[in-house]
Amino acid sequence: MFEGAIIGQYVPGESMVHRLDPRTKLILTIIMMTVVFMASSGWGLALSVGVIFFLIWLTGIPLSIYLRGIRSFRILIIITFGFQLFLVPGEPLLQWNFIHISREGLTLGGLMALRLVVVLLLAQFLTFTTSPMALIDGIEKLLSPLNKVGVPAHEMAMVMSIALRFIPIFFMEADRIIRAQVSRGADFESGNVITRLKPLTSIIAPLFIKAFQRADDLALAMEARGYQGGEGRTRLREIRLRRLDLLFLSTGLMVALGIRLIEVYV
Amino acid sequence: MPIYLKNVCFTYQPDSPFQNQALNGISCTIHDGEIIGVTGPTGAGKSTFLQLLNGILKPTAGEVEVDGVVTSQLKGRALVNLRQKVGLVFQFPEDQLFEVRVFDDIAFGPRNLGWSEDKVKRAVQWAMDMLGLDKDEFQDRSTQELSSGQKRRVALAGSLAMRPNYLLLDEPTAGLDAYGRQLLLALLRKLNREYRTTVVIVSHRLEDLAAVCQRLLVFQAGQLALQGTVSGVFGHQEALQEVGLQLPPLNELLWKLKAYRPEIDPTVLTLEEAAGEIERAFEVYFQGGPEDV
Repeated sequence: MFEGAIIGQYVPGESMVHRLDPRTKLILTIIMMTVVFMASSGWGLALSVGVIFFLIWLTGIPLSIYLRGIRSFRILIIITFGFQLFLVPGEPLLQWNFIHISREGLTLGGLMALRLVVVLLLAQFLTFTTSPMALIDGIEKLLSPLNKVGVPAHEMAMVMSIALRFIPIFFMEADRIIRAQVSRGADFESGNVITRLKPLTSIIAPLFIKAFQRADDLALAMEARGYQGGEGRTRLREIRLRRLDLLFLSTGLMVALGIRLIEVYV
Repeated sequence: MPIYLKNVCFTYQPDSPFQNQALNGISCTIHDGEIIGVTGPTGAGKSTFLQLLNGILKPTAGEVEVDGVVTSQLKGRALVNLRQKVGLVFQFPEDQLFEVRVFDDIAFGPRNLGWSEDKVKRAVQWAMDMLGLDKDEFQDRSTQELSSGQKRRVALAGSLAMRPNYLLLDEPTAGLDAYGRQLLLALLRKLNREYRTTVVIVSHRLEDLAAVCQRLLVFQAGQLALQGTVSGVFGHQEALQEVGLQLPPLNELLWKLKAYRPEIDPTVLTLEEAAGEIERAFEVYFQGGPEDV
């Protein structure tokens, strides 16, 4: 059952980062991800990881909560590391029967794993400090110039926000149905893969039925309240770039450029 | 054997920013063969309490003992057996139907218990009889084409078919019309009387509880605020109001009348008794009895 916090759930707070414009955080996240993926030297990586930890510190959310989010991806991280470790050819470090570990594999594996961890940290930096609705507003604003070339920015944002809005409801619903079926003796814990799959239909079918009902109800409710797309809509909370945002953006850009320059010239 | 709760606490998502203590130090006993009502405002821990009784949730501190077994020690098949003994019907159970045929949906529980198909058939037949669902008419129909009232009955039959000794129901009367409520309460009474099923009902509607229960547990903010016989609890009008619960209209009226005629007992449960109380109290007032007015 879904008892742990859902990965990337918004953690309300009053930190400086919480108060930033969602667009600032989106751009900052993208900048830092680019830097980490472009970094090829130990120096560049160390510096960018340092900057990311500084950003995380600014959010005022304990590191342990970030690490808990990463823990649920540990298998993915280990597999990625393993693939590089065993499959990349090069100068041999260890050779035993068919197992072959090369120096290149070790560094590449470590690098990939580190990048994954950093990407997860950054994603959490964004979603912990930005409520889903603010995030969607930010995306819509960032995409709105594309309206002119026919990209329906508002509609896309609306679809995303509804999807986001329904994720927790969907999970709660699933949880409720699982509990109901477990109460009827469904056993999801013992038995092999096949016998465990069977009771799964007892969850999926009612979940889908309910989801479609919900979607119908929502469409009807939106229409009843006169919803008609993006043209001329105003919003309750206007997002606005402030001095703090400009500070963060310009610092972020300079740091990113700095790291790149160090990488290229040092 | 009864169900014992000893100093039970339950916390959702412990050690996270969303930590939420739902129950705090609950101790009580659910006796064999009784119908007991659980009430309290929203978020008081009623649903958590129910889920602790059939092992869906395990207490974060304290012990729940069902038939001499502590639930937190159970695993795998033993848990499934516990859930056979302690049936739990969630709120709006009609949402849990998933099989195409009504028969298969009701048979889901019994089949999970590994019963022979013959025994499953008999259990389904019995459950459908109990809920007044005609077997020939309903067993081959699609669960999704039933009305919502019929769906709820099928879902209830699905829980009954496992032949639980204890039946727990979360807001079973929510969304039912007056007639549907009467039928459901009558069914619970029948199960209790004829099959010695212990029934635990969670509800906001004190009049529904008053109609069937012998005892009440009143929860507030994760603790037991009041417990006792229904009349006993109804005697604490102010405490109930503080918790945010409203007495049945009948008892509200009697409490109001008691302000004028202190000899009135405002905790009686039936219309006849209430009429008796009013008649007795006002006999003197009307000098000779209500017939002369």
